[in-house]
Amino acid sequence: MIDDSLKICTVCASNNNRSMESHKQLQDAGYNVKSFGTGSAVRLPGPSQDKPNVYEFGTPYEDIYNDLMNQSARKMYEANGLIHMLDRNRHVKRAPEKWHNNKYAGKFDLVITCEERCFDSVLEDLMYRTYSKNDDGDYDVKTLVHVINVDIKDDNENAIIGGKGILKLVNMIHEFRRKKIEDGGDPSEHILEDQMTKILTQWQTEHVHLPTLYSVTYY
Amino acid sequence: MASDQADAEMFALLEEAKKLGFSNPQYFPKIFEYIVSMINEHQKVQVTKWCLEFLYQAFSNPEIIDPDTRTQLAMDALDNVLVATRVRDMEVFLLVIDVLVILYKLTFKFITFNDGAGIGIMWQKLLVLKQNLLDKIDTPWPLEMSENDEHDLWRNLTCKCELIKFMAVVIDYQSASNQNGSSNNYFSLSKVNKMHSLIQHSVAEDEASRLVDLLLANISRDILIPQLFTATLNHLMVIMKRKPQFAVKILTVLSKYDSTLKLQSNYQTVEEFKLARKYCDRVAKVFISHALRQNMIPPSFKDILNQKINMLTERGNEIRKKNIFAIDDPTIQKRKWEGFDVPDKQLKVNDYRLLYCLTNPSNELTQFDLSSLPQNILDNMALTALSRVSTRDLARALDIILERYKYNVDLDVHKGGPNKRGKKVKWSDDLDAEDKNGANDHYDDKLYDSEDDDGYEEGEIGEHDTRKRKILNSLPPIKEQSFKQKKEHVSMIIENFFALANSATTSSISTVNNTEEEDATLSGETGVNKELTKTAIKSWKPDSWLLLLSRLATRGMSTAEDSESEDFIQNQELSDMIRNAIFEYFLQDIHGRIDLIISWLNEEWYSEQVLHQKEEQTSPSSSPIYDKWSAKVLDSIIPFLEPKDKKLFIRLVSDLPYLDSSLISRIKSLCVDPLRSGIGFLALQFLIMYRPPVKEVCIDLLRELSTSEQEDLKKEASKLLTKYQPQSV
Repeated sequence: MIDDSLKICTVCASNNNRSMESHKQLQDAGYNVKSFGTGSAVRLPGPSQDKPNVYEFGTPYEDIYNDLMNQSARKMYEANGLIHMLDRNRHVKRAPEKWHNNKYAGKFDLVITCEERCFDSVLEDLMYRTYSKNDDGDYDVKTLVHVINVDIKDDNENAIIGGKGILKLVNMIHEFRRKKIEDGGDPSEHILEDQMTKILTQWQTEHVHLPTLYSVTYY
Repeated sequence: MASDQADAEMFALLEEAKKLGFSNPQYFPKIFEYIVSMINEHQKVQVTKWCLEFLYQAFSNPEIIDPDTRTQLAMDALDNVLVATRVRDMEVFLLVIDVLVILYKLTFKFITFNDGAGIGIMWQKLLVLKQNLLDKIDTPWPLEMSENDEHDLWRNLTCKCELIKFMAVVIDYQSASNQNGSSNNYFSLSKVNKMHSLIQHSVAEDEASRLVDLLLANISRDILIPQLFTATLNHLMVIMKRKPQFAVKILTVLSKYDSTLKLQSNYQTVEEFKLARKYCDRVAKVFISHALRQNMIPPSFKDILNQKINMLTERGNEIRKKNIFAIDDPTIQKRKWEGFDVPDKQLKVNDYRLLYCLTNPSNELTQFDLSSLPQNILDNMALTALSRVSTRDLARALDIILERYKYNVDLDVHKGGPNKRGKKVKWSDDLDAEDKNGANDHYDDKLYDSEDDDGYEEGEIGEHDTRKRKILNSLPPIKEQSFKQKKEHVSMIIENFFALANSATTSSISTVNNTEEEDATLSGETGVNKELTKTAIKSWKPDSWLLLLSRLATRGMSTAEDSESEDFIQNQELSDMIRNAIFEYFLQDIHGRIDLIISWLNEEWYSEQVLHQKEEQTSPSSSPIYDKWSAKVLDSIIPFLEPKDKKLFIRLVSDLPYLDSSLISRIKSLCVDPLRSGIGFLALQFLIMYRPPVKEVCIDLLRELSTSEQEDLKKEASKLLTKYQPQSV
């Protein structure tokens, strides 16, 4: 793992396609990364549009993989990339995880969502966590977290393109943090929070088809 | 190297101590006390940082200190954390904020439930610490301020966002909550006794309300800084939920929020601004939607906020379909530039024109030769400009110029300095002057130094300038004026001031029959006076010159040097030149200039008192300069007093700021003069009645006079003694 890696997590609806593809790419690049889903359950395409495959968060990818392999629509799942996706996922981590139950994972420095409604859901959840917390004996001090949304269409091809884009963004952020302060310059130019929108703008100009959102929040 | 090794050994010892303290609760308080005291003792950034990390670890982990000890230790740490707030280091300041978030809560709670003797000190410490952090909200601390307020809004957003966190804690603790439901699960002002001797509910609520306003400025500001905007909204949600009394305030600002009305900052590109609008719109929409779903919105705001959501959703959908950077947005307007075009504090070229230039050098206005304008127009332009510029901007501008000057002088020194090379020092203005005299043929031979042309940027300037830049130009070294020169300058200043005094007098006399015109002159409503009044002194009067001159003699010449030092003695001599001049001016017309002399002596006495206060010498009589000059004034006025000058003399002795026995003894000569004894006794009587501090001295003088052999004198003195000190007769 990279020594100076920020604590990162990727988030999509079902923690299967977009967040898992970027999870894998970031992990392969050596970053400290986890991934989650903000949906109420894991929903994967079924034999028809009105019959999705629905699983509880926490159901191992292995089990989902086996379940789909045993269904009559297996050929279709292989054709649409579902089987390949689950095969990838089971080699990355054990099971899809729900964002709302991720307290055990600690606090992240950077949360990257892959869909606008996931971005909204993460922000609302962090607000809820803060105001609903009972008096904790004053032990908990809130931590600043950057939440970035990179809007990715939910299909195999776009998940890969989006994953590459996210990796590039994370690389840019880390490269920025590694820059040495030169004598005589404004120290503000080396503060991540000061330059975050500049980094995002630069990234966005190179990735115009991956629209972004951004918020600073705490938890 | 030895120091590095000593530091390494010290940190190793500290780590050992920490480990021991964390694993043995019985030793922890002693170890805690030792480590925390190191912040103040060492005052080294690395030590402070280590100690703050220790504090944070200790206070944020429930397993390290038991709750009772924790509160006590929190309060013990306040003094040293205050020391750490003054350290200009990012990491230290961020740790200070986190530690203070905990210490503030613990101490506030302790004070809430322990309203008794000795708590006041703790409360004061907490207030000082709180204010110390709140004072930094509008600054880029620990970074130095820049030359531009707008720039500083964008600088050090990390600490600004962290300070928002601290503000939210203060708002949470210093405002009441609803006493029903879940609000009982956390601390608030509602838990503080309404009769608490230190925490006054109204004061605490007022401050909380002001802090909410301060937070809302991040939403209502005319530019969008997404980091601050979104960080603020995310905290405001907590405030909305826990403190519904602030909902109207928050929602009023939010209902007026419209990103299309915001201006593009001078510190963001159009692309950054377009994204900023999109980011802020989305987070505003999330905020409103969440508040609506959680029933936090009062009915009166529901319609307007629903409309706001629809508008934000529509705007978001429209942008999503397109490349945001390709959208031509006619609503984008840039914020008016309020800073300096060229705020650089280092000059690459030594050029007087560039030294003072804060506007864009390529601007046509900069090229305009102001020296071609008549003096009176230049005067008016300068005065108008001075009257319009804010003090802060003027100070910043002067600071930049000073820094440029100092930097280039230093540069010359480091380069070996012109004197070392034995070459003549030139500035381009000097060169211009010599150009006109046809002396330019000698420049290259005399001043060109190929070793010293580094730093010049070729191609940016014309041929003429290029030649100049190749010439060794350097700033003239700062020359210390000789004492003789200083004296000449002071004489010149004095002459100018008295010329001003005489012209004011003449002007007043010439307009004595024209009240309106006189008023206009006095209030500075005409000519240059009008401009000067607007710029320098709001109420310029004909005798304002005295105020300036006497202050120059007193505060203007004061020095922190030792009274034996050469500087001190020389400054005193210069001050005495001014004092003599004022004194001579007074002697020319004692009767007409008594007010003037009283003002001057008051200034002398006051400035000496202020000086002694600074030096912590509190003795009220330590005003040797005042004593000397007031004695001179009395000695010079008393021989010339006539019997009709009663009022004038009483006026003088009543308005002099300080009288002692030496000064009062001078009245004796008046009393013994049969023609003017009335003035002397009247003055003594007045002082006995209206200046109690000198009553005894006056009585003593009367007692002395009552033993005189001069009968009328003896009689008058005895009469007054009987009246004011019957027991002594």
